[in-house]
Amino acid sequence: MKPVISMSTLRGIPVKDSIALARECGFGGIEIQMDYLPETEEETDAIFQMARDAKLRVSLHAPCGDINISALNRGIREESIRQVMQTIDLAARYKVGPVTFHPGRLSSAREDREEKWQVLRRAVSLISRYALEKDVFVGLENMEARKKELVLSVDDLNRFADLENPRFGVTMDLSHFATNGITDPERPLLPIHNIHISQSREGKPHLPMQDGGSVLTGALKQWLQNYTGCIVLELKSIRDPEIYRKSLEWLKKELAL
Amino acid sequence: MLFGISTKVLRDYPLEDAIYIAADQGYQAIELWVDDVHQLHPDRIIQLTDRLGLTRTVHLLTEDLNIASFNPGIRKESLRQQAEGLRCAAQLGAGAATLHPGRKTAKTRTMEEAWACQTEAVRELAWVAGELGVTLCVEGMEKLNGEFILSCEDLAALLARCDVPGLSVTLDIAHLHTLGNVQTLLQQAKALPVGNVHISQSRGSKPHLTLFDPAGEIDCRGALAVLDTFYQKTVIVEGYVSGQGLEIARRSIRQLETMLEDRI
Repeated sequence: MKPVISMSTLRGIPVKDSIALARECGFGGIEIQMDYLPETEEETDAIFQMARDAKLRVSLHAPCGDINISALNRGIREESIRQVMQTIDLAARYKVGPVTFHPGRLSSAREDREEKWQVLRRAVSLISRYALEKDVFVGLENMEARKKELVLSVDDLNRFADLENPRFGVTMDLSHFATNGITDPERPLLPIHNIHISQSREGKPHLPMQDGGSVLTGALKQWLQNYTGCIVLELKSIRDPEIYRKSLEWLKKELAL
Repeated sequence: MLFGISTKVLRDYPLEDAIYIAADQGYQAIELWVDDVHQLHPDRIIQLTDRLGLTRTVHLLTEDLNIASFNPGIRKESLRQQAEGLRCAAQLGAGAATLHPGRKTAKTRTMEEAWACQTEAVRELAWVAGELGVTLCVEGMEKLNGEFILSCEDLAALLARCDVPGLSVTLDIAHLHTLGNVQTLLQQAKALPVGNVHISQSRGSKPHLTLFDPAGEIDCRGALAVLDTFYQKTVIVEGYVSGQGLEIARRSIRQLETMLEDRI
C-alpha cells in the first residue's frame, strides 16, 4: 500500500500540477478536495483522467469551509448536506473513493449539545444512506479540538455505529485525535474507510511526520491488517516537495508499507 | 440619541412581551432580530410598536451565514437569506437593517480575494436594500478569526469599494473595544455614515457583557459623549444573560440615561 497525499497539503498548487507532483514524489494516490475542483464538467473530467493516466488512486474530501451539516440555519444545513451528496455523486461518476466528510458542529456556543447531536445524526443518516444508494464508500471524520466541534473521540464516532451500512464508515484522523489528547486511539465500532495522518505538537495538527510529535502509530499498525482503504498524508499547506518526500519515507519505514 | 434594546437581550420572552417590556422600561427603540419576528404578524408588530412609540430597527441573521464565503453554494444561500431579511425589514417599516459582513474562512485565499468577495456581496445587498427603502448598515466586527471588517478604516474602505448611495454602518461599542480605546476609535467614525449603534460592556476580547457588569472595561460615559457630538440615531442595548432579560432592560436604560444626564 502506497500512501496518498491530500490536496490540502498541496494547497495553492493548481490541481493538475498537484497530480504530477504527487506522482513525482512517489505517492500512490491523491485525495482531492472538492473546493479545489474546477467548475466545468470538462475540466473535472480532464483532472480525473490525468489521475488515472498517472495510475494514482483517488479519494475525495467533501467541501469544508463554511459547511456545517448540523447548522442551526436550515438553509445552510441543507446546502451543506447537498454538497456532501454532490461529492458522493462525483465519486460514483468517476468510480473513486472513499469520500471523507466532516461532521457538523455547533452554530453557537449557547446551543444544547445533546439536541445538536440529534440534528447531526439525522444529517449523517441521510448521507450514509445516500452513499449506499450510490455505492460509494464514505468516512465520517473525527475533528480537532475546537470549541464548537462535536465529534472528537472514538466514543463520539461510535455514536453513529447503529447507522452502519456496507458503505458507511469512518475516517480516522490521527492528528485530530492527538489535539484532543488521544495519541493511540482504539479501533472504532464502524469500519475504517480512510486514515488521515500527520504529526501534532502543542495542540497543532497537520505537521510533517519526520519532525516528531504526539501521534503514535501502535494502533494504526494493527488496523492495517486486512485494511484496503487509504492512508492519507495531510499536512498544513507547505510548498516544499522535500518535506512531502521525507514524510512519505517516514511513513513507509514506520508502518512497513 | 434614541435608546433601544435588542430582542436578543429579551429572548426569554415571547416577542409581544419583549416589545411591551422595552416600552415599559422607557426605551424609544427596539431592534428586531429577523429570526424573532416570525412570532407575530408584521402588521401586529408595526401596530404595537407604533402605539408604544418604539422606533424599529432590524438585525439580519448571523449564525452559520457568510456572505463572503469562497464556497459558492454557501455564499448564494447566505445572500438569499439576507435579501429575504431585508424584505422583512421593509415589511416592518424598519429604517435601518444591520448586516454582519462576511468572514475569510479559507486560509489559502488572499485578502484581496476576500475583499473582492465581500465587496460584491455587500454591494448586491445594498442595491436590494435601496430598492426596498431600507438603510443597510454594515457592522464593524470584533477581532475574531476570519473577521476582517473591524475598524472604522475597514468600514470606510468597504463603503468606498461598494460605492452604493445610502449604504451605512453600525458601530458596535463592545466590538470596538476589542481593537483599542473606544473613544479614540469613535473619533474616527465621525466621517462615516453611521446608521445604528450597538452598546454593551466588554472585558479583554470578550464582548457583550451587560452594561452594568463590574468586569466591564469600557468607559461608556466617555463613549456616549463622543458619540453625541456627531450621532443622534438609535443606540441599541446588547448583552444577554439567561433569565436576566428584564433586569438587564431595567438597569441598562437607567444607566444610559444617567450617563447622558451627567454629561449634560
